[in-house]
Amino acid sequence: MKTPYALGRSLVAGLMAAGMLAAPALAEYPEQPIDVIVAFNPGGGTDVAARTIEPFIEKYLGADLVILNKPGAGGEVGFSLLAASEPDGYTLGFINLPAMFAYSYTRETAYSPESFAPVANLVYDPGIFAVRSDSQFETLGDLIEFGKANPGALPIGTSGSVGSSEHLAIQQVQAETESKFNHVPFGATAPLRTALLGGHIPVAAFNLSEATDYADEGDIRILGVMSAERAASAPDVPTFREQGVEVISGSSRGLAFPAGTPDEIVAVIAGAVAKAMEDPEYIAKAESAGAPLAYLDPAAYGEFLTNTSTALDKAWEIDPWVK
Amino acid sequence: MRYKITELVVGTLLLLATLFAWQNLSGLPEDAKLFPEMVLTVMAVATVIMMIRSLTGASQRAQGAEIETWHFSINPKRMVGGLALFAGYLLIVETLGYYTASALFIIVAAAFAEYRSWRALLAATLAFCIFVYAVFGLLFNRPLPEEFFQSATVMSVPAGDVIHA
Amino acid sequence: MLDLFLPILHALPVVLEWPNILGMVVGVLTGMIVGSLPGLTATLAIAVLIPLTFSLQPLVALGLMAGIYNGAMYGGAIPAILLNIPGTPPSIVTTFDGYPMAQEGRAGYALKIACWSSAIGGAFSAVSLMLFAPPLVKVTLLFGPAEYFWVAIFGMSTIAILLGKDPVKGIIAGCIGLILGSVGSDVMTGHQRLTWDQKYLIDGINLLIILTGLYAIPPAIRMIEKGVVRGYQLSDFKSRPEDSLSRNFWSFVPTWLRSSAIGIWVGILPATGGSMAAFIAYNETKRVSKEPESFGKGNPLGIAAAECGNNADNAAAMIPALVLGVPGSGVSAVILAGLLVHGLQPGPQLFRDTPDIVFGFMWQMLLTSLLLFTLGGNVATRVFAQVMRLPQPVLAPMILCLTFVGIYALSSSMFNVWLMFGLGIFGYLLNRLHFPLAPIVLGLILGDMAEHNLRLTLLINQGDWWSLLHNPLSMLLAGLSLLIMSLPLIGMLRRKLAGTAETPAAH
Repeated sequence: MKTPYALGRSLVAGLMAAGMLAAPALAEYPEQPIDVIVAFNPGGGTDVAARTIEPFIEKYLGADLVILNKPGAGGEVGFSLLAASEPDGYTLGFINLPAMFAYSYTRETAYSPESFAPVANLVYDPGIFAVRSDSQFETLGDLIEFGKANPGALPIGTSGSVGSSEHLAIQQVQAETESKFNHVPFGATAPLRTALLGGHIPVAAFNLSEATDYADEGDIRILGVMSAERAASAPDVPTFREQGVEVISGSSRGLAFPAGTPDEIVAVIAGAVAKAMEDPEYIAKAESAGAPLAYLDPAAYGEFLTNTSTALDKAWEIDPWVK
Repeated sequence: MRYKITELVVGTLLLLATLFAWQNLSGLPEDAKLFPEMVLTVMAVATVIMMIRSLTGASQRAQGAEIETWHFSINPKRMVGGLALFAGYLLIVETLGYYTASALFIIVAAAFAEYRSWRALLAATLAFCIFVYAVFGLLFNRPLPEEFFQSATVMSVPAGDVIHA
Repeated sequence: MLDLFLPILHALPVVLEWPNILGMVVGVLTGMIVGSLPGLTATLAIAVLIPLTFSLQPLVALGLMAGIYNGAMYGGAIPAILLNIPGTPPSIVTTFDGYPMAQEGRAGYALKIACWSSAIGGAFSAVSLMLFAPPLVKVTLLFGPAEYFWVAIFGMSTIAILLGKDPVKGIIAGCIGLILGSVGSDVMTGHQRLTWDQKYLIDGINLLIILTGLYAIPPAIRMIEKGVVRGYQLSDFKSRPEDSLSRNFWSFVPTWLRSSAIGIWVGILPATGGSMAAFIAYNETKRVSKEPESFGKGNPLGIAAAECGNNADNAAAMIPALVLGVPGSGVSAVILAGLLVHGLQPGPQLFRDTPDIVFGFMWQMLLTSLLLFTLGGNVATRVFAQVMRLPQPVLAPMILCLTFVGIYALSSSMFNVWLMFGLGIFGYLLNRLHFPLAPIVLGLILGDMAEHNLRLTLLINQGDWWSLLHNPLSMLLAGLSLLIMSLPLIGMLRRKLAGTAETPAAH
């Protein structure tokens, strides 16, 4: 309540400076439990992911993690809290790319890409286009041809809202191929998938992990994956790039500290996360929960974060999604 | 008579709220505001009808005989006092901590409502705190505002929430 | 046929092992406590308990969840009957007749009906889950945005019976609910509606905040005003001789069957939920009743319909959840998350790969419903009767302290708590002026669903309004909604015509 959202940015800068001066004695880190801010409700996707990996990080870190749910404004409340917390290594948080930065174009957020010290990426779930198995569209090419011949006639449902990664991916496809589709935001994956299976929407864009089981059963056909290379969980599905459409998009989940946290502390947590993600027991758990793991170390994750943010800047400049 | 005045006051408040909401929606794109504006229109019309019915006495007749003995509040002093105590409780609960503030509030509010069996009151308050602790503290491990004597030495995040459990 | 039943029977012995039974009993008791506390729901309880179940065997964990689910749905009826404060959203409907019965000194009987009806509704629902899960799912696929729009309208049409003595006020209340429901970020355009730049309003106002604000705070303030020292007495929980469930058993049977069918139907449709099941079941029971005017004044059938309907939603909501991975309600969404944690990916392969666990879970839904008979009856009347004996000046601040816990637990934010406080004052005003509160909740639950699906349909079909009636199913649903809406109007007109001869005092 008392959080000075408007002051967020200057506060972050101030805290950064304070963090530098008061660098704690690192030899003993961590010497008390570490809070982990989850910006979503208990039981949500991020929450379950957080609670699944928590014991494994604890095992390799030798310290307790305490999960705090701080939901609100699609995660913005929790992300802001993380950005504004002390960079002393005792407040960690889950961040979701690109969703968390997409908000800042339509409303003022109390954080920016510079507010965070990235620790590690955990999950990367690429986007897909899928159709029901009896659809007339066999390949991505068929779809784009249709979109060129009948501009705006074909509805594509997305699991997000306006400004979601799927929506931006559709815009990118349109810009690349000069086709035009009709974006229909369903707001959640479950109703979208039912509508796709029931034939109420001809094409749907959502995340790969939520489609593989249905594709394996033969209920739906995945036209393409928006990753750089083919996904391990769907090796037969070609990427967009292979089909001549240069679109790479997906949603990711990772850990970050507030900016200004000493590099040594970041390295300690990143090391524990890396070990946790190699733990066979954890890999098995994540696999059964359908979470595609993709570890990135602090440097690589930082680069990924910057790239995501610049890509969003560019997309917004070309075609703002909220007018 | 009092019923009529209360109805007119609440009707006016509802109309003002409708205007306020309408004004908030005015900048939105057509399809985003269509549905709420439709609802606001129906609500404004219904509120005006309610106020007319109130003036003609139709709304009082609709409630039947019980309206004869109607009072806005059985005991206005206690109503205002009760709400004020609850507001006070909400103001101090984050500073004092949940259990301290709740125990204080239960005792003060009960005393305010002229309950005088102190021993029963203390026993009930204690039982309440133990119950809440068992369900929320132990079973569900939900965060509650921390007690002032516990959190005195611990740093807090800018939101004012105590972070170290 | 045998192929169908063998896996079901095969799962039974595992379910009857001791740790599993213990899990179910603990679950039902926990659920009843959680359900009876305003502001706390089964969704929250299960979500928070999921990490604790990591180390348990899948079936023990699932038994715990099934118990909480069924227990909470009954637990909500206890404060609804005794205090007129619904513990969970669906039990709003239980207050209609439950509280009047308690005031007549028939609290014990009311609780017993609620308990039996919950257990029976839950049991029917669980059996339907076992037998029909795979075939019924094909039916859900017929429902697209246009059909969901009509389902929402159908649910809203039950509003007619909730309007109260002064229909104008009922309509205003319904509008208030619809407006509160449209607060937040608009999915279709990304714009903020009615948020006034408040971060905590962007996701919309949580139903629980509105529920506790409107339903729990006004009665607590009234209690402080009255300051009645005499609480419920033990004698209030003793049934009178004419209030014997075993003697009146058969009079409930038609209501139970009808409400169970409604609850199961509503449960199967994703994104509807127990509140709607209870509202529709109540509406139908009142509509077919020979004495509809006795509803809302303490008719036992009203409690039976509400509780049976909302518990019949429980297991049925798991049908699309288990077979399609599409949760039918908030609770089933959390249970899905729980399944995932134990490595069980919902979908058709679930039945093929792990039949013992899926069917075991279905047995647990059935057994935990039946556990309500014993645990619900005894625990409710013994333990809660003691609590309700507290004098009002002590009980009222305790209720207020509990509302704080429930709302604070949502997001650890004082904003929501103050919002609840504001709604509490608003609710007090509305209460005193005889505005019915139920239409607010109905508008809140269904308004968003109706609007979103209407706009989806129009967007998919490029603004063609006829697409709302594009196939026989949507036409059928539209026709049913119109029928239900016009029935009370016709009745009202007929009564008006007949009543013109009488004096106004006769009303």
